Amino acid sequence: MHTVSSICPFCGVGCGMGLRVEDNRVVAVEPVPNHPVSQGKLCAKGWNTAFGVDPEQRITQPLKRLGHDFVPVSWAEALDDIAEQLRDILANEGSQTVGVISCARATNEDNYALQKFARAVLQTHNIDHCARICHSPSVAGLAQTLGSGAMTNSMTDVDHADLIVIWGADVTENHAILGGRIIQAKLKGAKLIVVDPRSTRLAKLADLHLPLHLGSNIALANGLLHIIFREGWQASSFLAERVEGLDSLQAHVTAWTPERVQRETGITPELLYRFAQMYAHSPAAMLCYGMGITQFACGTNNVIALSNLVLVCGQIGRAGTGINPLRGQNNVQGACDMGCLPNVYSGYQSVNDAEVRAKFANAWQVPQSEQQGMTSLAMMHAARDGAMRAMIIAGEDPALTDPDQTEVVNALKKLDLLVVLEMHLTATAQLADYVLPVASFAEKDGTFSNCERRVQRVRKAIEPPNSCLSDWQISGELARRLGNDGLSWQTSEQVFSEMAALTPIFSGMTYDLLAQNQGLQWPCHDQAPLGTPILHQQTFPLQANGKARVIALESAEPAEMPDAEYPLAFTTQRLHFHYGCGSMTRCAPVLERETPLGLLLMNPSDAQQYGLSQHEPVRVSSRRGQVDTRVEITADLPVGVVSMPYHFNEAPCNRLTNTAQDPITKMPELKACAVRVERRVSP
Amino acid sequence: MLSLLPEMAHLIDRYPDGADALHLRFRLANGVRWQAQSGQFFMLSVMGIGEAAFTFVSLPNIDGEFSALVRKVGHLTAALFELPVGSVVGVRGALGQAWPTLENKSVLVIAGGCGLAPLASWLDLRLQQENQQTVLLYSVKNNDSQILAQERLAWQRQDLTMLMVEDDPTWHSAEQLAQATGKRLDAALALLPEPPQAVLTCGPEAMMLAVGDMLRQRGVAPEQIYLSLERRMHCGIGLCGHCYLGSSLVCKEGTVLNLSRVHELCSQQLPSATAWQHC
Amino acid sequence: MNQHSFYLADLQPLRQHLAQWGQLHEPRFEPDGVLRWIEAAVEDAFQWTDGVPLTSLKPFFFAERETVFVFDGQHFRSQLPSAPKRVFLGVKACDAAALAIQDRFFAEDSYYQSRRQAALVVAVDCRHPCAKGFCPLTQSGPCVREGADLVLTPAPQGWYLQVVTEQGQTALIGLSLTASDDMTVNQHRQETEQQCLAEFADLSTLATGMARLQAGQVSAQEWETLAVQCLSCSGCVNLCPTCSCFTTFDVTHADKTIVRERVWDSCLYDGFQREASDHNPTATAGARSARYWFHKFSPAFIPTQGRLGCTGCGRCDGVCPTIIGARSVLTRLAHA
Repeated sequence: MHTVSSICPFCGVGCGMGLRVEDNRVVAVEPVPNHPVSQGKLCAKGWNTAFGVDPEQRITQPLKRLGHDFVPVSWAEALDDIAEQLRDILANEGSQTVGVISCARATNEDNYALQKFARAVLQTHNIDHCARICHSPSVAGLAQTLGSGAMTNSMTDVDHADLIVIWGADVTENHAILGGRIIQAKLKGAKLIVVDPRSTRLAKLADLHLPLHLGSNIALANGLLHIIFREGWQASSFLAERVEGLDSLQAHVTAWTPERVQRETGITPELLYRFAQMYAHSPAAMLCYGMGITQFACGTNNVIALSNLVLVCGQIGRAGTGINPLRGQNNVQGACDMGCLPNVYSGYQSVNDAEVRAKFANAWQVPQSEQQGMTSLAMMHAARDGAMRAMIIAGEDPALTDPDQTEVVNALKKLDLLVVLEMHLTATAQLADYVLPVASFAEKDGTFSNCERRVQRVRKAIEPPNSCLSDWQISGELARRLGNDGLSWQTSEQVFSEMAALTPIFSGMTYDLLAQNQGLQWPCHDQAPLGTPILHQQTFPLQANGKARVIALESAEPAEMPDAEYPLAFTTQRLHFHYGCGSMTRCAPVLERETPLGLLLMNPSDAQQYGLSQHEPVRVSSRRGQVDTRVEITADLPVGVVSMPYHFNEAPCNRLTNTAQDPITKMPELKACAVRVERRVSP
Repeated sequence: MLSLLPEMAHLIDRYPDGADALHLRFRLANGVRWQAQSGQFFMLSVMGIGEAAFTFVSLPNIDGEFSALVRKVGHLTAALFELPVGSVVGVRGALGQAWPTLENKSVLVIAGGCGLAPLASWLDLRLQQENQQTVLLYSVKNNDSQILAQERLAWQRQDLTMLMVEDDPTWHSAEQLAQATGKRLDAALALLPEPPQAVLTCGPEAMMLAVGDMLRQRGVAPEQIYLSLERRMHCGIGLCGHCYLGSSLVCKEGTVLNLSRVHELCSQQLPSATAWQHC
Repeated sequence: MNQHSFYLADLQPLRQHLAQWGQLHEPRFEPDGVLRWIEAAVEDAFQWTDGVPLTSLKPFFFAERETVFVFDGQHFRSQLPSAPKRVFLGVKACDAAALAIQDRFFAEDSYYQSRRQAALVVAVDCRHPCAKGFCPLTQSGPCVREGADLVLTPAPQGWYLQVVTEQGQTALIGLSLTASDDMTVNQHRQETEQQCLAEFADLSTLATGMARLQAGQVSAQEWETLAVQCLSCSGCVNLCPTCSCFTTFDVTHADKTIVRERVWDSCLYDGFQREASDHNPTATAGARSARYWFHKFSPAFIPTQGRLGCTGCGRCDGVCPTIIGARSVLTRLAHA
């Protein structure tokens, strides 16, 4: 048995993980004691990784749909068929009728290849991935205020912070090892403030917990700013030097008096004052946030609201500070970095910039489309309306994880061609015309980028089962058949090198340098050859004068508030033991066993009102659909709010969620809608 | 060496027992025969699903046949409900400690719901002996959920003194339930000339512990009160660790344990056994 | 006749001889900087390494995941592991003590014994405290007490070797050794231990915490508060050299054979004791944490286990993401 050094395939923390290999099988994993991020720890998901890549549970041969069934076919047949159909659709319907959804958990190399396939082979910018429904508001919001959408600091800044603010994130459940570091920091004397309607684990340990009304984040932020300006606590010299827009923001927030804020958020003036005081006065305050900020119809503005607060108090550009979106997936940062977004190429180089398009056209020897690309949700709507004919979906499960699930399923069924690249037969894979089996992270070389922009090496530990290929290899095979040899790389390192040469923020990285330094944080180039742990130390990339911007915002309510017909607020959450759609974690017996019997979490007082006892069967309904499950009574939920984890295909909570969208990013409002709950006769 | 390898057995009969229980009868294959005592249990494997512990309702006979009672509560029992007669299953047994025979001692048997099942074979054997003073107190949630009707009829024909009681659906609070339990106990005790020399009880854990406490208050020594504890089990032979109670393993030292030992094990971790509301 | 103690000027002849018995495994720092058990080449000299390897000996004998039996639709066939002969050279006292617990616990488990009986354990006394360990508290070191076939102690020049078991005795046959006086070696080992103990940092806070726990003075509320931090990641259970719980699960293969596997399990999971009826004897995180540490530090287990469940190796402290490993817990309990 030997150990192969790699990175955990689950969340965006990117813990070091040793794969214990015997007889071409990953039999176990071990933690990496000297890893800069994980420091010798793993969470329950990480510890159970081996089950998730177990060949027994996987698709290992290409599958072709025949009626309601799948039949195994050879790679040659599958790839030839798919290429032929794509050729026909491109010729007859045009490039705008095809789209690619790439995978936030596949490697950077896979993602670069998939977006190159879209742009250089299909000649479309219809490329997107699940960041759309996750942190697209972070990218868009911070792009407007700072000029860059990534975590500004590093996870190690938790050790240097005097105050840690967790806003709309359940860190110990989804970024467990980071959550652990936050607890460690707290034990060493850091203060902790948690803003969350739910009583999360960190909320229970915090110095201050602000259980605000679901979706009232902007009002809270404006209220904090109101007090900070009123008391003169803003970081005046920092602002004078580095920030624009202060006057209009200051004038704007005078309307958010503590009384108004209490009405809108439920937070008392005393608690608000304390928060403002602590945050403004802290020598180093680090703000981290998650889906509780982004997954709203005003998600982009929510992010801007936090950015305003951070800038006004000068809590950025130094150790122990920053505004830190916690990217959820192991490589969602990477998928964004690689340009798997309709409006940017790799490294956030804009599709709308003619010079950028020319650069890629030249490098790839293929003219670049000038037509706007579609987001994943736009692609779903186009599919529903018959305007999208073919999609390639790599390693994502929109049929389970996207809002308004029924519509998604209908849309995908309407496609002429749906090709799914997958390890397991997910809900989405079950709708495919072709399922192509892909190698797991343990079966290929490549890189992942964690939430702190650290690009880390992932190493092949075992041979893929049967004939599974990497996503970048599949891209090459299809490209060749469609007349483009530019994707026929032989190694993942070749993919990375090509990408780095075209991407300024990655230009200083090589596989060797990544190995020597246990990863490097972009931007990594001539001016920062060892990467950049802390962004914006001197200037912001927003504009030529290097200044950031604060922007005045109106507060907003969720698009669908509780009413007489649907009297409860509904939100979604994660559980520690499961990941995403559960395709990997539910393969582990001890994790599957932890799946609660009741998936509708409800406050005891609400439960009493509805006459429900623990684990009674219930039906949850919204205007979009209904889900049958059991109730899980917990005081962690506030009165009037119910919640469901989204990992379980037998209780798909996205049947209920709303598609009301953030106008800028099209982020759907997954975190808030209205439902009613009824007792159900025993199944 | 201890073995995790099952013996082959076949499901030879099945019939409903009560509104939601199923009586399953098995026969060991390959000439394998078990000796088992009342109160012991066996591990049953439905391959592809898993393995769990079940008590013998009827003990293995010379033909290697035995039975168990099953309610649909999880994946394994759901699979058992669908299992056709003739199916191959895996079994390991007989495991655990038996009920004491208590010959010539007056015994009060208290069964709650499906807790009657592990006591059935003890009552069968008891009633075959002469002049044994026995009273059965059998409580059920409602009449639909009563089990072993045929067996009870046979026992009554053998002159078993039995008191059967049904829960009142309006009882919700712990106090109501406790009060009712006390009344029923007193009614059962009234059927014996003196406090019983031993008590056997089986049912929900909270019920057994509550009944045990009440009996102690009424003068029965905790060493003479025997419980059959239920635990999640993955091996039944003291290896997997799931069935722990204090420093002991229920599959090896139990499932039958006397109340004094149960209290001792419960209080090993904490000064007071009632600090957590369960055992 | 059975000579018990020997002197070695150099370890190499012993290593060469034992390498004939089985594949040498020794703790080494690998290129990634992590201390692991590796298959050592005899030509590479033995390296003393401070502290314990990342994983204990546990996974070598109690496999993290293994097949128990195979079912083909009719028959159940046991599948015992084939275990190559291995020599573990350089086992520290704490890990040897833990091995003794597992040896007792799995004495009748054929899967464990298949591997265990093919192994020779050569432990080494520690001369100085390691950074993480607290073996004096749990009486599992620094001097090797049990769990080993052979014990090495650094001597003023060279090493002393003592034979503990018959397997150890047999393994030495054919090796020419310089006999040493038992009393002298015993005394030397005692002195070595005394010197080492004197160098240990103050463990009295940990002792106070352990005493409170053993006296049953820790309240349920204290445990519930502490356990808010427990993620049930179960890293502690995985790396603890004495943890032995497992669960079984069935895997149906494409060819329809069904394999029953057993895999490591952890009593910190809610589902560990939860029954199908939903009754859970340890329904709260506090109850489960209490039980875990009870098993590590309570003398109630000594009759069956032979010693306390914790051997003071310190791995749980290193692997716990939320800082509630043994040292942290005992320190916290001491201050209540």
